[in-house]
Amino acid sequence: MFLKKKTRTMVINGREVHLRPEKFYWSDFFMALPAVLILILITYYPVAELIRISFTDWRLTSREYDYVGWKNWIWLFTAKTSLRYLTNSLRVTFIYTIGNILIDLGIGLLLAHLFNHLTKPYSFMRALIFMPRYIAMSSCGIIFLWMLNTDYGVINKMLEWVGVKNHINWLGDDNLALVSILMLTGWHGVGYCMMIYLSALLGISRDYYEASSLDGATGLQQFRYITLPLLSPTTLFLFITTFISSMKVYQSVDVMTGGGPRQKTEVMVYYIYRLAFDDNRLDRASVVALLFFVVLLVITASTLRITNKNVHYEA
Amino acid sequence: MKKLFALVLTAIMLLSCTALAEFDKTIPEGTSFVFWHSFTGANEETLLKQIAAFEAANPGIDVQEQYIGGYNVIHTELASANTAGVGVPALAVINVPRLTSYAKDGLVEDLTPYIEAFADEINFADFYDGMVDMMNNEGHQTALPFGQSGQIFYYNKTLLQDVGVEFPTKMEDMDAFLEKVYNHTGKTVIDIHGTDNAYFYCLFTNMGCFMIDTETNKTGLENEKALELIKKLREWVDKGYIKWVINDVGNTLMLDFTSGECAACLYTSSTYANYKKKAEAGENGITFEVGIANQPYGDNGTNHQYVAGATMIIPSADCNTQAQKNAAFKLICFLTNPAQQLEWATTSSYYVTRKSASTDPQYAEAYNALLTKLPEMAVLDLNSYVAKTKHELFDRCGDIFENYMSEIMANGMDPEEGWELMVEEINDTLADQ
Repeated sequence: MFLKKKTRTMVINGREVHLRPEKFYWSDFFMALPAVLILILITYYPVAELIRISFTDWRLTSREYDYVGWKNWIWLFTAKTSLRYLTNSLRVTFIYTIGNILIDLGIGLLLAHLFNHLTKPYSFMRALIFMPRYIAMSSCGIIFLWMLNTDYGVINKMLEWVGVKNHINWLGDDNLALVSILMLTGWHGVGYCMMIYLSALLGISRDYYEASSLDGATGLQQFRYITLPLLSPTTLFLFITTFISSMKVYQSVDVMTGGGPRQKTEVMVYYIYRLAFDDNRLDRASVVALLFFVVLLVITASTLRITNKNVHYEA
Repeated sequence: MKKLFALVLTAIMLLSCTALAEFDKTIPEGTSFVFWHSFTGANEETLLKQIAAFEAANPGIDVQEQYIGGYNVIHTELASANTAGVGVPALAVINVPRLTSYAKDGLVEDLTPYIEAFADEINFADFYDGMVDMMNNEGHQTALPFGQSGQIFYYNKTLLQDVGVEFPTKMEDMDAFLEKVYNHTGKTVIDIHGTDNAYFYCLFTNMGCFMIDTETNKTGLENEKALELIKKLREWVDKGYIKWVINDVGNTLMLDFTSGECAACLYTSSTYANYKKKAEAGENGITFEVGIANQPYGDNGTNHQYVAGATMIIPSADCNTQAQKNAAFKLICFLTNPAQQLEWATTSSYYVTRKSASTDPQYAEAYNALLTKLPEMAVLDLNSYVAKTKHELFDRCGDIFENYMSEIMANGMDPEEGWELMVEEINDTLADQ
């Protein structure tokens, strides 16, 4: 099938261009080989190892292990502790992901729309909003930790000035801890979404807006019926990338709450880390990681399949 | 034929025993080994100074000390290197609670033969019993104490003198103490470190409630006395006597205590020098004298104090030669001797691990120097320190314990409901092994 010889042509700017025949070139194969090998080594081999470890009883602090068959998988779906922590982590991860997508994409789009209509001097403000992206998440986490301190944090002090006398326990309250993390990651990530949306907005032809204005469309109608549909490829891209990165959140949780209070911010990656490095159970961490991998794969594939039908690629 | 076989077998066994008995303690010239530690600032400076003194006294040994990071970083690095079988240091400082699982998985050397072989350099009997017991796993001495600390109460001595009370030594006196101080100041009396069970666990064990009952494999916290204590602590929280600090704990405790927002706090003994300096200099607005106290006795006079902090291990990995391990042990002997321990304690506020440091006249000058700088160290009776339950799930159960305590004390969860859920979760965890 690779050796099929067939000359292909394509018309580009009115000129007929001859393409290389579809056949197997050894030179192409060897040029791609290093990249393929690296990909196998750093992506597929670890996944294969993960599957292997999931059938062992390997502890992090031990160099010896035995193969134990499906024991870890049975533990995952039957043990009281695993079900308790697994369902909790999945729930926390999904809530966080939904919140983060709403903040990053929603506020990012609004800011992009705003800056799209502002004059050039406002580019400084745009840069300010994007700037947190350059700061390491661990540093941001520590700054937020201080700002959100119940007794001495600047946020509670500011709230005190406007009449909120009872200091809010941002990181220790069951309902607010995850919100606090979302505040940090939202502040950190919204600038990126804004910039991507802004470049997409600049790519939309003005003709659409002029034509709709002549037809009497309001600004809101233009946004609803022109801007949003034409931004849908960008939205899909941002949705998928933000979804995957949100599902894999770890650093902000580690710095801010360490999964607490009482596992209320224990996201999946943090749970996997806890099993592997706190409990030294590499075997159990492997089965949870594999399950998480499958969940991510299924959701991402389904999202692409569903949303692709509603995406408009002609801007 | 059978007799011949038995004779040969006996000979082999005898030879093996002889080989075991003869521990090769040689350290050839030019032996170099890697030492991982987690100390920074003044503590690191003192450590480097002591290592330099060791190298000067042992010119044939080169110590390559490396700061790796906090205890968690050392754990992950050590476990990874051990798995890979390369890059394992010959000596490392780890956090005490990790030791049980390290010993179970054979990650650490049994130091007993080293202690016997180097008996002229280390007086094992001179270590405080509770400290070495904590590092003994199933009869094997798997580590030696270094950088030990305890969970103690700091109190504003000046304030308590004004109020006319002393910090209570028994739990039964705590109620009256809290009430009296609170009525005088109108502020929180004690800040408690609420995110690490090590700090308040002692209050429970002194009431006879232990985290894990190794015989039944269930938690001893299901004892009704634990519930009573939880309810009592919650009552004190509700009355404003106690503040259960659960976020940014280190900073909050330090600021609350040194600014006079609370009269006392429950924290690690290793911050004594720092607290004393800040309080005496009036760095946060008020000047006062700092007092320290052990955890209060329980109902029937039970007095358990627990050691925490660091400990020194020699990893068992084959990537280090016996000579390197011997050299590492020689450094342990040096760093844990009373003279070095006194210098170390004076800098760091960590406990002196050797009994003779306070009793042997040859160390009197150094001991007096320690007491001049940190006078309250004399208050702590290190003989009362004992080993905690050694169980590989102790930390996991401890996490559950502190999580529920935080919920009850800081987030308003009903004490009885929280206690029931906590007991159930710890028992499930213990059963799931």
